[in-house]
Amino acid sequence: MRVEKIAGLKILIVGGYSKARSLALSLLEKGCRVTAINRDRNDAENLAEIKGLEVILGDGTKKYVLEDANCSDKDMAFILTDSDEDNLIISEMCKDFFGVTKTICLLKDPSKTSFFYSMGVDRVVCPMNIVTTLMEEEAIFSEMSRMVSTDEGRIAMAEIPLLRGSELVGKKLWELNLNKDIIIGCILRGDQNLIPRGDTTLKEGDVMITISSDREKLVKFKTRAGHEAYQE
Amino acid sequence: MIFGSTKKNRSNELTVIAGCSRLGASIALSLSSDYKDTLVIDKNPAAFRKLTSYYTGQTLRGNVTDIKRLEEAEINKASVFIALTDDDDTNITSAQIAKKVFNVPKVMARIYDEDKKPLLDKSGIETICPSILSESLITKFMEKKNEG
Repeated sequence: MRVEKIAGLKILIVGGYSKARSLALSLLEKGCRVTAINRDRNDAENLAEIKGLEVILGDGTKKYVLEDANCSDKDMAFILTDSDEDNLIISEMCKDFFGVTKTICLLKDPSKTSFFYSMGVDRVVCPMNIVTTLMEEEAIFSEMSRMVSTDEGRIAMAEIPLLRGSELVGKKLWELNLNKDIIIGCILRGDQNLIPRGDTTLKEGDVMITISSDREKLVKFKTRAGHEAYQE
Repeated sequence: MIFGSTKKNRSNELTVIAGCSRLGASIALSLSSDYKDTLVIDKNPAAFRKLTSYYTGQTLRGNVTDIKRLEEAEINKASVFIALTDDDDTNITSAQIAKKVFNVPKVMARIYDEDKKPLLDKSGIETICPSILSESLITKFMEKKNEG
């Protein structure tokens, strides 16, 4: 995967001390411009010792603090506070007030995953222990994240969440006019796994396990599911 | 588990109050004294003491943004959902869950920070903002004084 792509991206990190720290270090190394918001004075001072990291001392759940951090200028926001509710609202503010392209939220309670996607969060990262690894992948591999390629068959598989406002929401599968090279193998809706049929209706928040022999087509399909195609 | 009255009220308009704050408790009390079906949810059972012994509705201990818990409480059958915890983000999140996940027809959330009010503007969720209310009352009061 091309790492140069993320150089120069402007990234906001809200909350979370150790996770924010390791994330910031790794993103800075890759050439991103990183701003961190932390409301604990000690944590903020420690973060400020990282070279090149801009640190704002303040409560990231406040609109004026996001303004101070120049949020409208950011390409991506990682939201890592301890509270699921705060994380969701910060993501909504980033999108609705400041037009941030992509938000990635930490979530403790897995049962809210679909709900978070339906509220427009681009990526929900849930289990605490794999959080840093996954988030780094999000930044580096952006579109291709969660894409698995099998060795022989050149088959690519991707988990694609259906975002709010996508043209696919409310449509039956047969109405999508899917390219022949793509199939939707499974739909994850809340706790359920649905095996899709032609008359299955897509809902926002569904995660589609999509399989294709052509990566490009998967990327195109991801755009139809409401994801920004900012990689190009 | 839902504790409290098991008597089924005939009026099937269930009002859910998320957060047994002072306002939440007093609204729940006045609804239950009107014989309306009421359910108060709070994560801290000690908060239910504010309801006093006159309260005849139901109480549920749990997090107001816990979708599973709300499902058990059959929030989808509620006709009104009012989010009145002390935390703005919790109120907005639980109101959005009530609207989006459970399709409750009338949903309202209390928001202290008026900056966050626009987040709910087009969502069909009503907001109540104490600072804006106080401001308008104070303005009225000032005008009255000027006239006098």
